[in-house]
Amino acid sequence: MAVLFSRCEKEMDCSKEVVIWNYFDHEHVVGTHYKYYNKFNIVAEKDDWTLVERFYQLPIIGLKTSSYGFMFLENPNLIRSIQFGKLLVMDQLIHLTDLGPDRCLVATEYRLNVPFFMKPLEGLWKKMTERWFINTWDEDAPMRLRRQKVWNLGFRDFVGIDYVNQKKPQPADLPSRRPYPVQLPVPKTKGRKDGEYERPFATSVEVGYPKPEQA
Amino acid sequence: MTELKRLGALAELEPHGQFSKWIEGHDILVYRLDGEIKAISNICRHFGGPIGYHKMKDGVFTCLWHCYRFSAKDGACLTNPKLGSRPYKVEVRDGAIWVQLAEEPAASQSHQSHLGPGGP
Repeated sequence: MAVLFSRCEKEMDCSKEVVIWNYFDHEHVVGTHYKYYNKFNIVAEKDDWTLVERFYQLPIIGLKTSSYGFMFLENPNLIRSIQFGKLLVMDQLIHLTDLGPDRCLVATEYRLNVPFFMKPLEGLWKKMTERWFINTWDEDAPMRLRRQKVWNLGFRDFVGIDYVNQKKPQPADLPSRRPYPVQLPVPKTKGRKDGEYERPFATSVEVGYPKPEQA
Repeated sequence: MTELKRLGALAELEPHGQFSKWIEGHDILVYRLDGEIKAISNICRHFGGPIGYHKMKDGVFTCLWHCYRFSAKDGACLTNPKLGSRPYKVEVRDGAIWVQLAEEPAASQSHQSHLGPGGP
């Protein structure tokens, strides 16, 4: 056997706890990443581990495939995800490093276990994983930044922001940031059929995230 | 604090008939529905996603993150009726869109929402 290895990393203007929330928030896969994921199933989930089945299209080679992924929080700075594909197994390590208040480094290592004769494909593997990392990062980054922003404004899941709901102005005494606790598993939406999630539409006109406040 | 705030030019509604913008801690989605300009909170009360990321389709907005659906008529949440999006009063004058951020005086952040939790 041989291992195809690649490593990708980027810095992020949010706490590493928000990144953990993002990884364990499986329901966003067919929403935020609707161009790459068709559907997924949460097979089992408890506390800080989960087993999911995902259906997606690989970058560059365009292969449509699926895999079972067992993901768990090994420690507060490391998420591990083992993907069992049709023939191959990939071990993914996501290292999270605090770089200060609401800033962190995300470094992902991809290891694909293959027969030894496939070792020459490591260059292709690096290109595929880099493309995947960048594509999903481009969609996850604004999600994480927004999550951090609304959290710091006092957002509570399934409630919203109190002063918005109460039709009041933003409180002058609102702290600039608040601690973000990791609470797993991330709550799921009830009523979706048997835990299966599918892409809601084939195409969409993307208007985009809100414009920033004018100075 | 209950006065109207200028959110943007009327022309910003083009070409999609909608736009969203942050103003003083409020993220507001403005759109045209049956010739009327309306505004609701762009912050999905589920996890905080952007309700108006996708262009409105058949009178419904679908939040980008988790596909929660909202009626453009009044902001009602079609996925979870307890998570309706707050409407804002809107005025159009001098080629601009004005919204009323607050209808009540300021309060401490510790006060609980009258809308209450929606639950998963």
